[in-house]
Amino acid sequence: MAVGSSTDLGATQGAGLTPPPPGARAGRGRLRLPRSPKVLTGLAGLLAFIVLAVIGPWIAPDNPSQTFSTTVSFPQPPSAAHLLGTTQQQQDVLSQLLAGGRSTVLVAFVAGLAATVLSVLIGVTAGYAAGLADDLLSMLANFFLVMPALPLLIVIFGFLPPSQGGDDVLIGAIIAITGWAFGARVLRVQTLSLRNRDYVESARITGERGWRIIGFEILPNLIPILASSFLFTVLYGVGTYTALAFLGLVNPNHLSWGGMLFYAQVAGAEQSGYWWLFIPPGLAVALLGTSLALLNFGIDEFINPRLRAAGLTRRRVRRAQAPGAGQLPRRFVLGLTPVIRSTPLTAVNGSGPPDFSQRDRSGADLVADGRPGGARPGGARRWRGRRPR
Amino acid sequence: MSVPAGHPLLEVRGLCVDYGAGPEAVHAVIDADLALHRGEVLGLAGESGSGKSTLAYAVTRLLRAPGMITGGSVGYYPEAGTAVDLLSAQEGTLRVLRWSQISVVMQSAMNALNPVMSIGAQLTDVLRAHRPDISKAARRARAADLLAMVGIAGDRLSSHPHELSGGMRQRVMIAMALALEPQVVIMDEPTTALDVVTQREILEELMALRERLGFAVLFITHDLSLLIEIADSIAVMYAGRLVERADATALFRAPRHPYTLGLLSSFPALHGPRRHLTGIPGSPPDLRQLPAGCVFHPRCSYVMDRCRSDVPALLPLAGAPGRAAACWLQDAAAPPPPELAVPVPGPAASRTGSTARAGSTR
Repeated sequence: MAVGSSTDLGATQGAGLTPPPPGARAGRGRLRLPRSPKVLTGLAGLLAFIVLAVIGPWIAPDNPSQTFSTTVSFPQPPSAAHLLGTTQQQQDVLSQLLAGGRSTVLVAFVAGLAATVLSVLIGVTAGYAAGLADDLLSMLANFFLVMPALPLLIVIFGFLPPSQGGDDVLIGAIIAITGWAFGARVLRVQTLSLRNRDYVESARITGERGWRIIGFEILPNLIPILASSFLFTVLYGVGTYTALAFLGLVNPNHLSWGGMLFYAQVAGAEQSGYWWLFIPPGLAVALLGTSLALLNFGIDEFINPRLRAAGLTRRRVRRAQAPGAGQLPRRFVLGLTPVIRSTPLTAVNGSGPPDFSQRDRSGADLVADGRPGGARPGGARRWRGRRPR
Repeated sequence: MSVPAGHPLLEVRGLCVDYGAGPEAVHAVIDADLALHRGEVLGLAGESGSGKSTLAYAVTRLLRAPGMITGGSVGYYPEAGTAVDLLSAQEGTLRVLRWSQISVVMQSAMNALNPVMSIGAQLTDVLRAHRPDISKAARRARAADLLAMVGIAGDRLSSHPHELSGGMRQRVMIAMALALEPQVVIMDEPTTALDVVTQREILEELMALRERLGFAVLFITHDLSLLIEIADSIAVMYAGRLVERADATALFRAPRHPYTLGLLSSFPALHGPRRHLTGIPGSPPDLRQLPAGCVFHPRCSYVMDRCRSDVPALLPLAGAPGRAAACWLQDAAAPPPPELAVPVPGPAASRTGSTARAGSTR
């Protein structure tokens, strides 16, 4: 907003055009996730699970594999000694739950990371290279897409020597093999659309190397998709690892939430009502998945800023609501700009134009009555309900 | 027909438009008063970001989130005795009014046309929706007529948008806007992307169509010289406010606001004595941090003490019917500087002037 010292404006004249004070927009970082409650919940949940994965085995009250009694052969319900009861082998469920998170989270993130790397390598290469390479790589991705994942994993884990059945990184990598194809397809299509943009073509004409074009011109455009695809694959990893462990395909002595569910199944927990055997690990898996999904919504809004409605969260709308002003809309409808008529913003001195006709004044009354801008809450809801699909 | 008589067709009063809500809201349009008469071409001029498009989109309720109308009224008077308050109209009313009564030609025709549908299909689509009673063949004939009307051969109906040039696409957009014979056509910089020759052709066709069909046009552009040629009356916007409103000839010959004067002295005249082109120093203000008083005062060369503290309202000027300016210089407290007090040419002169201009465009 510099008025420019070259113009001969006086200092007082330029006073109104001084630049905004530094920090006026400091709150708007470039990579700032929208602060919707959804995203904050997801982020907090995911962080809590990561912290649990790191410190879980240390804060566990007991050794998760310690057998507390050799005389009792039934799972004991929650008690003061064992807050979440014991398993059939008389091990502490709470300790297992706390310690089992590490394996689950680690496998999921290894799977997500490996699958994302694979999908970038294959998807972006296919999209950028085009021609025969694209055909072959797409065929590979399609092959993995149509192949049912679980039977393949069962076969692979069947070949795994028992000594390696508890290796989290290896398990994650194996899960990644079945989880990369979807992301690769998405990235390939996006790369195809990007590779013919003018700035990419001009980079090619000026003689940039292929890897540099991919790294500097194309990949930064794919980051939102990558982030979303990563979270999706982590979610897939959680589900798949839990399923595999539940089916007993992973070494059952390797502690994980899926393994706990396997032992609950072995103990017949559902039939006998030993709810403390399957509800805690099941809930943990569900909450981890929910956190990932919520965070993914946030990234969706980040990719598509129109979903954000320019940061008009419900709380901000409520805070901005002036008493006596019209009701702010709950959501914006394209082609139906909300009308919030209140007192004019500036005092108009002098005479205004002539009045509207009598007929129109009745129309103005209709506005004061409340639809769509009126103060009746029911009116706003009805208005929203009238939206076309 | 082009004589403004009786009640305006579209009347905007005290319109205020905000982007966002609360203390961070940006007031993009403040207290705009406009009247568009039957068959009239009303020009809306201003720099980029002065709020002219926002105003037009707010009038049609097409403004996107987070745009909100925070005050004023917009009345549409299609015929004597009927009135529609566009700001309180429901979705259904708006849907009926749009296109059949009020249509909009958007800025870039490239994005407005669907690239995978032939223009014939896109033209007949609107007819099928709004005139369900006419037959397919009649629709097709009407679409061909519309194309011919804007100077495109009827056999182009089966073309796709990529087969047309930019000017032709813009013509298709205009034909589409006129398909249901609306009374008001809002044109948002319809010729910005075109070269001046094509621009001239299209505008001439548009003006001829207006003579024939009698619709009113709200023409938005940053090109004041263009408006002086085609518009009947002109409103000049600056930083969300209307600063001057006048008959096109009067505005050109005798501007009353320093900003208008600055705009007028930024382009050369083809005839008449040589003038020094001055332009306007500085740049438009940040709408989030408007200067106190008159928003134009930091760039105004006639600035007075009063301008720094008091906001001037858009007031009718004494002795000049139909003119209004928002400037303390026209306050009658002191005689305005001679550049801003050029006598307005008489109505007879302005009429002959406008017909002469219309003739010269041939």
